Amino acid sequence: MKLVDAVRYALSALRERRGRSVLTILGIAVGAGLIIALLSLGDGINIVVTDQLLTLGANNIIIFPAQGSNIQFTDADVQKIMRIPGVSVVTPFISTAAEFQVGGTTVSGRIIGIDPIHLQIIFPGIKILEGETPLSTSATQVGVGYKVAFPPAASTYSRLYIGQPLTIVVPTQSGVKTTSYTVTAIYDKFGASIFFDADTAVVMPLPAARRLLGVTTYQAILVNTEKVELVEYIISELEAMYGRNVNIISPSSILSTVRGIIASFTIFLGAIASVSLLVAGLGIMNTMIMAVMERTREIGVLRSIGMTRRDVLMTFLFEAVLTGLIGGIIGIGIGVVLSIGFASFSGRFLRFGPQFQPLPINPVITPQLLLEALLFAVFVGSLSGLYPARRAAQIDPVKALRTE
Amino acid sequence: MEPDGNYAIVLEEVWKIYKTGKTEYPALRGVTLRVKSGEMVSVMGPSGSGKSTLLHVTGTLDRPTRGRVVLYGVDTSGLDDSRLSEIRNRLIGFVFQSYNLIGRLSSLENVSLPLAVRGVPLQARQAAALEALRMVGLEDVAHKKPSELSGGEQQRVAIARGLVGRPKILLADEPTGNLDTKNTAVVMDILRNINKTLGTTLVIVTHNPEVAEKCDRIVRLRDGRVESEVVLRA
Repeated sequence: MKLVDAVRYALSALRERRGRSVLTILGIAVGAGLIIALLSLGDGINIVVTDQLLTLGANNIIIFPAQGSNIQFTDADVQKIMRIPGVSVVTPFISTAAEFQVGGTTVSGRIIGIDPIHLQIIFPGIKILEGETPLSTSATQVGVGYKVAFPPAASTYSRLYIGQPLTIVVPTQSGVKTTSYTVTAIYDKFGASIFFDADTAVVMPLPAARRLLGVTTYQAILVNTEKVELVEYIISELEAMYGRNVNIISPSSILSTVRGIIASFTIFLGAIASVSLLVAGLGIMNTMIMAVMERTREIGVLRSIGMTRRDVLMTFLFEAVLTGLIGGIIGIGIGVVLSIGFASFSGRFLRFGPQFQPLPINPVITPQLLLEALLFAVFVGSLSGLYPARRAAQIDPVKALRTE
Repeated sequence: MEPDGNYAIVLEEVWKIYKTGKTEYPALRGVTLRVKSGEMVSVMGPSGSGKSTLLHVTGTLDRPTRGRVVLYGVDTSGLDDSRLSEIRNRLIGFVFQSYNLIGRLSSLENVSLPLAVRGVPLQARQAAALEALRMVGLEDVAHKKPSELSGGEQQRVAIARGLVGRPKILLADEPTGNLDTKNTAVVMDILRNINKTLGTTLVIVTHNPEVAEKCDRIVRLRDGRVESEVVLRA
């Protein structure tokens, strides 16, 4: 028997029990659709998270004292770290919450005490909208984030201009301390990275920050490496230098951890979806076993007109394979709709960064993913058809013809 | 005696023993039968005498426990499933008491099925199926399904399916068993006509003496043995 005729014959059987076929096909379609949706969303989340983490700079390492340790970073540490080969920039920083008085309103944000020329390390690609970078050695100059210069709550007339004084209020042990600084730079809108929101920050040269906060030590040190590949090595050097007294974080090492978590979670979800597809395969097996029982006499007739056992096996197997194939094709449609639907829905709940802004997830639907899901559906179909088809092939034609 | 090759069907000391658990039931006990090419033989006998088993063994649907079945000089014992299936497809046509048409297929599709199994292209097998339907006088129901046909019509479609592949042997198991007198006569005329015009060898299992009388020879079975043979036409 030719393949095309076996397929034609199988199709006629599927059409005959239309209701049952539709249900089994739907089972497969939902399983395949879930696989597509969950895997494409997993990849989409991976991309979003990667992008977010890379805003911290893949070449960066942040080192700060571990909880409970009494280590305090000074300029001596900066010098020491500078000597590690492969390190391009070392910049310490201090940060504290503060309030900025602009016009008639108050903006809450953070002071970032850092050498302003190295601001790019924390906020890669940040641009100056107006003015010039504050001098590294200045005790009076500051740069302000976009929302500090243009407070959203205030009227358009109460914005900050270059050269204007900015009043900063910081809490101290004895109450609050109010100091005035000169604005030399207004930074363009940048948004938030994981640690800081650039738009509500005031960037202050280190001498000014140390005096304002009355400290001589640093909260953390940022280390910028020449190449991403050197990050691991420099981390090991830093660990050798400080042992357990410090915590060392690098976006690229966070990234590999987070990616690992997302990957295993995606695999987990994919496995659940695969189980649903396998269960749908049991549905195929069930209908096929019933079909073999109902059509026993037909099998006898087919054998009497010259079908071999193999022909009978193939026609029944094709019924299951076709169920898988049609289910897989419909599943592609369901999967695409589901992943786009899920993405627009879950994007509102997956929030990130200091302001918990919603992250747009774009599901990654590749032709390869669709093909794999389709092949998996066909595979499940053929697997579940194998046993019933073998049973059909082994039926004794004489007994089959006697069945009522 | 003529050599086996000159006969359409040769059964030689054929035994068929069915086993159910530990009990054995011999349906055929050493049947020897020769049918000439172009002969039309009826097989009669009471229920349980082994008529249907004889037909199944002759048609290679069942293997004899002992003995030989030779069809047009081909010894079928020891052939594998695919060779036997090929013999059924090319050499043999079956007609059953309860028609056994496939309900979801049209008459034309039912009739052309043996040719699909043989691998004949769609158009050629549809043409052959139409021709077979014409021979049984039913070309106008080609696109009707079995449920839309009367019993007599269904049996004629089943005969068309049996002869579409131009088999040399047509085996009919109670072909008129479910039919009234009028349709019995119609079906017997068709079978006689096939035998005459196509030279097809026919073996018809029947209870009906009127059907048996239309044949060249009557073979009576009892308890799995040939009890008697009567030649009506030489």
